[in-house]
Amino acid sequence: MDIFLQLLLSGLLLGGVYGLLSLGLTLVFGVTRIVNFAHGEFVMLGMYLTYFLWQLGFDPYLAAPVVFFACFAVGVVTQHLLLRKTLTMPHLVQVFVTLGISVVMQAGAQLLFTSNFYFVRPSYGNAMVEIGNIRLPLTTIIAAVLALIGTALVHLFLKKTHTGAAIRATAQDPYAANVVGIEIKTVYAVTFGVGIGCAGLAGALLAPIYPVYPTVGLAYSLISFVVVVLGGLGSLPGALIGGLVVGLLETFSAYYISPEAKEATYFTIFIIVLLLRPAGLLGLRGSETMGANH
Amino acid sequence: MPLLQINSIKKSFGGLKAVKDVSFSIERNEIVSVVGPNGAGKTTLFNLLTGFIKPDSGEITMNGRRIEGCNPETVCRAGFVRTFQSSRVFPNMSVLDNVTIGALSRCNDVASARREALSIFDFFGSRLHDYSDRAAGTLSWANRTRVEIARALACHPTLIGLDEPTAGMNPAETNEISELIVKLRTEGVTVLVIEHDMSLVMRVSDRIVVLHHGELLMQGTPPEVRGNAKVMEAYLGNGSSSTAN
Amino acid sequence: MNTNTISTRIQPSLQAASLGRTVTLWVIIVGALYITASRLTDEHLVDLMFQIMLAASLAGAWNIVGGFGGQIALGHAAFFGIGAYTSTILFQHYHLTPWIGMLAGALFAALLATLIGAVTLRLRGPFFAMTTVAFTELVRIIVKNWDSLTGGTRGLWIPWEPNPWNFSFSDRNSYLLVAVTLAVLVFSTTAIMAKTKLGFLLNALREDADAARSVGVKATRARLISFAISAAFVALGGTLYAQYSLSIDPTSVLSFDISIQMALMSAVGGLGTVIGPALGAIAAVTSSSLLRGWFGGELGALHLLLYGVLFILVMLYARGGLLGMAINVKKRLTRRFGQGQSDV
Repeated sequence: MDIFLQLLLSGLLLGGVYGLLSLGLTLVFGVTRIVNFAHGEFVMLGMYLTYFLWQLGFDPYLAAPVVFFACFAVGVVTQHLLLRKTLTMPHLVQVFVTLGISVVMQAGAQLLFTSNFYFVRPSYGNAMVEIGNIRLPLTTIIAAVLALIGTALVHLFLKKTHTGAAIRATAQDPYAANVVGIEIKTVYAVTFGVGIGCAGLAGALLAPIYPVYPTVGLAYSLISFVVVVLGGLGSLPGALIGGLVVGLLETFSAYYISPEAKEATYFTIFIIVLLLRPAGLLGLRGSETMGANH
Repeated sequence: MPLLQINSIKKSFGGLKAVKDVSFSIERNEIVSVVGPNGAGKTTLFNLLTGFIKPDSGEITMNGRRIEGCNPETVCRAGFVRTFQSSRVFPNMSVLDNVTIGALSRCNDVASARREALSIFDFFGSRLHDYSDRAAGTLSWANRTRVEIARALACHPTLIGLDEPTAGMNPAETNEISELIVKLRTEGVTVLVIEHDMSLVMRVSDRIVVLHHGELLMQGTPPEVRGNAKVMEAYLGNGSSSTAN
Repeated sequence: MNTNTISTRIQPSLQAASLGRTVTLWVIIVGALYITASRLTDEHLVDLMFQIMLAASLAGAWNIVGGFGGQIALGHAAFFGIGAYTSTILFQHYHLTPWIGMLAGALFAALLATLIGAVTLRLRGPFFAMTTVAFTELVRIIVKNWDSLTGGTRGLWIPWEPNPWNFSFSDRNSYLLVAVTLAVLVFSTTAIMAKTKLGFLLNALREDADAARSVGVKATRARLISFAISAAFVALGGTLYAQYSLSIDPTSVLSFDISIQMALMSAVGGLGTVIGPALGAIAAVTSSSLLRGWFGGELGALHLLLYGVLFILVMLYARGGLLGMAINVKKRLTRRFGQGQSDV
């Protein structure tokens, strides 16, 4: 029973971070219909930024907001310089441009930081929190709590602010939004900024738990694909729910089957979901028509 | 036996009933138009007939063969070929290659499909011959519609369905397309037109089917439809307040 | 009417003339490749040419699905790995010559592609792309963990015992001749495809799948055939790589990078064209080799960085790729000089 609870809690905590990680991907898709294949590389960027801020003496969790805004800026610039042009182009071009970005970022990281593993190790890095017989790493708990706060803030931003309302309106119907005077270009830029910001923030929260290296992004891209396809590409609550499901799958299959089995489990589930229910568990209307033939 | 027989076809999306229990038929060598205000369910009906959407219930019979729920390529092979709203040609392929694709539904080698395509060009006078090597995406709307019709004709259809063929065209172009529609019939092709623009419909149709809120409001000859009070009301009366999209 | 009779009369004869010219050119290129491959003595150059031929074959094979069909396939590393592992495992466990193992791998890859394609090709654009990535990861994980068969993360070693019957040669030129043969096979297939029904149907499906289906194009069938052909060629490349490098492991033959590389080279060279992917492969392999020569292994990533930038620029500004640019230049030149001639 203790083991079950331990796994359940670890899974949910990990899932919370995965939720934030995938929120950015699903938000960008919901508004711009672009699946960002460089999403994981922006997580990597967040991790490197956290590492260097930590080296400068910042606590990694205090660095997290800084990383968010830095990545927000990177996101806005990237969308303005590159992705803005692809909005009316075929999917193939959109996917390839984001793939190109991921190749460039990976190669850039390799050139700047070599392929060494970097670790962020604050003094409390190995601390464990004990609740009864359950022991959980402090860093994972903090990461999950901050991820949930981040997720909540993004939701508040979308629900309560004028820009947020414009983003939601654009996701529903870009033409109508344009007609009522919403500046679509700004909406796309901000959306991409927030999306990349979330990826970077997730990177900051993961940095004290996992090492960072130039090719780390692929794993995070894949996890976020699995999460958003499970939750429904374009659905914001779906990202969190999908994240929790994937977090649980990962911890349980790693314990009960084998540590190697966790990835196999979620890719199998990913393929099954795509085949049976391309719109995901909480699918966005329209993503299904994109998923299957429309 | 009618060429196309539609029996109480139904389709809803979530809670929205887009097409509710529609039945009508098309006889050989007729020109039939389906009209209705925006949101009447015309496009949904057309997609149901041509295999792009599967109906919830009902029957569609083409030449005695059931085609409801079949995929578009099977519907084409049954002799019913469609065009699309705002002309969907293959933009980066030449006009000749566009039409060749249609001909390839019946022959296996490209050379004979090409010959077939060129023979279909004749139907359009010199219009398509002149643009044979041009990328279809660079043509005017009227010529793109011609390419689409030529591509459809290359499949040797018995029934051709045109989805808003004159959308976005000027009156002169609209005239040319309506002459083309009439000419299709002389070639022995039955024509189904989905239109918003009543003037074109009144000119070319033998019979008009009026849809409103996903239901069949009435069907009849152009003069019958013109004089019908219910049609006037659907188009003008409460149309503005109830065009549930 | 006049126009019609003229065009029907001229068209076939023109086609026959240009077909004859294309075939002649093709025979010359192929002949030159074989002669160079057998005469080249510099070890480094032989290796470079081998890399180019292999890369061109892979990019050309990917192009059948991605370029002609417009499907964003990002899982071709799976077929590469399947080719490499199938022939190697069959040789080590059953002493089956890799020549036959190669065909077995290609067949296995084609079957798997058909199976995967049957369930995923109905997905559109990015969804199809994500599924192919996930599928490759699944294959990689299986290979990584099936230790008894695949050697797990350590991979498999192929002993170097020269014997042509076992696809093992004492000189590099022989491997190069096999690589040239594979490339010739891939590009001849693509060239024929471009002129025949399958190529036309794939192009139409890429341009507008709905419109194509409405005029009777059997979308699933055409895509499955192209997917199977493409996978089989990539698997042949996998065996060739395994025999040449004498060792394979999940990272070297099953990583996502390999899938991306095929797409990158094909797109930079010219998507959906016959020889575009070959140009992309030449550009990629030579630039990588030159940069490594100048800056050493440390800056190996520089090549990837430049190539990534080039890839983005091509996608945004010159979707015809290198080949498209070359054709534009040629058009401009002929317009200038051709005009002069007709005036005279």
